[in-house]
Amino acid sequence: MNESVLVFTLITVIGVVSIFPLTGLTGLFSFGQAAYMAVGAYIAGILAVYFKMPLIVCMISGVVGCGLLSVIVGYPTLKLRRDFFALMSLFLGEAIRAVLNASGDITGGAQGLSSIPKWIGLPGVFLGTAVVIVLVAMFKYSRFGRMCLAIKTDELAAKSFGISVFATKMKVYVFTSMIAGFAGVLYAFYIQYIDPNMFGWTTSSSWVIFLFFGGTVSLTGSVLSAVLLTMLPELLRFASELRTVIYCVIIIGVLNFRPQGLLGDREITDLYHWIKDKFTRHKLPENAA
Amino acid sequence: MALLTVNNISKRFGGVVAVNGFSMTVNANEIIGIIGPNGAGKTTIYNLISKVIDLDTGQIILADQEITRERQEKVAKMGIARTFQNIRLFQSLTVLDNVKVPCDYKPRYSFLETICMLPRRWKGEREIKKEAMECLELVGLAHLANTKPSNLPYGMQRRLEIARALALNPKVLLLDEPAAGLNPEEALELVDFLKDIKKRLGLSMILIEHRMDVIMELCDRIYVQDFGKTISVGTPAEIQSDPCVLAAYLGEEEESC
Repeated sequence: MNESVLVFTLITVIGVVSIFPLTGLTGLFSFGQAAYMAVGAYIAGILAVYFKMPLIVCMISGVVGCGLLSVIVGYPTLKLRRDFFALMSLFLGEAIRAVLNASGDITGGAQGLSSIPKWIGLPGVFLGTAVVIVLVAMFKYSRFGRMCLAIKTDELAAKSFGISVFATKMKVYVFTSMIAGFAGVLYAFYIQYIDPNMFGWTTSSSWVIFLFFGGTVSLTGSVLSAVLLTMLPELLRFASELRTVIYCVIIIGVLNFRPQGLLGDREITDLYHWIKDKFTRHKLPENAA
Repeated sequence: MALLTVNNISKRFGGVVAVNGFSMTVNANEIIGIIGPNGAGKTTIYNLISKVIDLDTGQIILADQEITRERQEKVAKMGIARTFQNIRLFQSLTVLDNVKVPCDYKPRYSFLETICMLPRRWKGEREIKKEAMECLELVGLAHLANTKPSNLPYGMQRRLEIARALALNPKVLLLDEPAAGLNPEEALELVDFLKDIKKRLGLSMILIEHRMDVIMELCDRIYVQDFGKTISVGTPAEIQSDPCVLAAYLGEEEESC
């Protein structure tokens, strides 16, 4: 297994983890999340190539730029119903790709932006991924994570317990967009070359598929499925043309027999509780039902 | 001074007048009952008070503050908690997390503190857990804290709904048919439980209920609704002997109403 496959896998892990709070916990489908990755990558890349900025400035600008864009996009659209938000995210993704393609003077257009300095290696990407996973885990097990799940399950009930739905959705959207932007920054400084077509809706929707494959409310599942499903095509290389077919059959098979995803709502931390529970398992009272 | 004053509220859905000029006062530490046949507009009154839907006319005042034009989540924060007729628990959360949710709107710790794991996050989480466990103990579900609500029997789900509403630390608690689907024993338990809560927490309750034994046992005053209108107000004894109420319920020949 060569290094770039590993890096690409880690970047995909960040991508899937970046839609986890949004799609998995809050129930807002985003089919344009990769666009934020593009924005992060291009801001960082352009600052590095044309303005010779140092790494830290490029990184912060890329991430903050995504945050600003998500505020502008989220403000009008997060008040809409979920299905309209999903449509909008799809349009956003394609619009950003079109803008990047059209503004060739700055972005290099379809030829892409090249000669980005290689400032980040495998260890950097690995560290970045670990940090992102911890941040999102912290998010899930906080009042914000609970509020998101409440909104996803029953928006009306959530409101009647004092949760402001719009403000919560906005926070999640900005947070997840910044993570996607961070993935873009790492990607740009590792691969050294970016072009708009890497960040189309196919990338975004594959992240959504990975999320559902792993289990929508399981962060462990998201990470696991991102790793498995990015590596799988490499492992299936022996089957040459049949590769994609086998790949799809495996995904459909798993989703058919486990609609809740590979891990459902279980996390790796549940393992500890499960072992503890084995010995002190209590049952419902007999007459309860 | 009344804790909650509802002044002449009305709501019309198309051609149907669901609530027509309903007025009510709720004093501190008082249990009010709202009864009436199906379709009398009882749940609509709840939806109007908790601001799930906007009212056409009228005024609602909670502890000297007008809440008529406030938003749903604001009203909840100000102290109106409710349960739902068809149980609306957060099925994807555990029992404990369900009760934690109403404690979550308070900004005990910020977003940055959350993801950076600063001390205030852990302190806030401990406080929330403590408050939630207290509410669960109050309804006797503490030992089931880590199960999913869907695994609980119906009666316990009802209790969990009440625990969740109590976790909001409300001034007024709106209960929408808390005894529906309970067997007579469970209904008796519920009556004792609600009396106990009233005594311990000193909060006011409004109760929509079809079971007369529960209503008559608990309520200090009762409002009787029919076709959106209030047809009678009084103590349980007065209501039981009111000919208008009997007419509405049993369909007797109208005389003086």
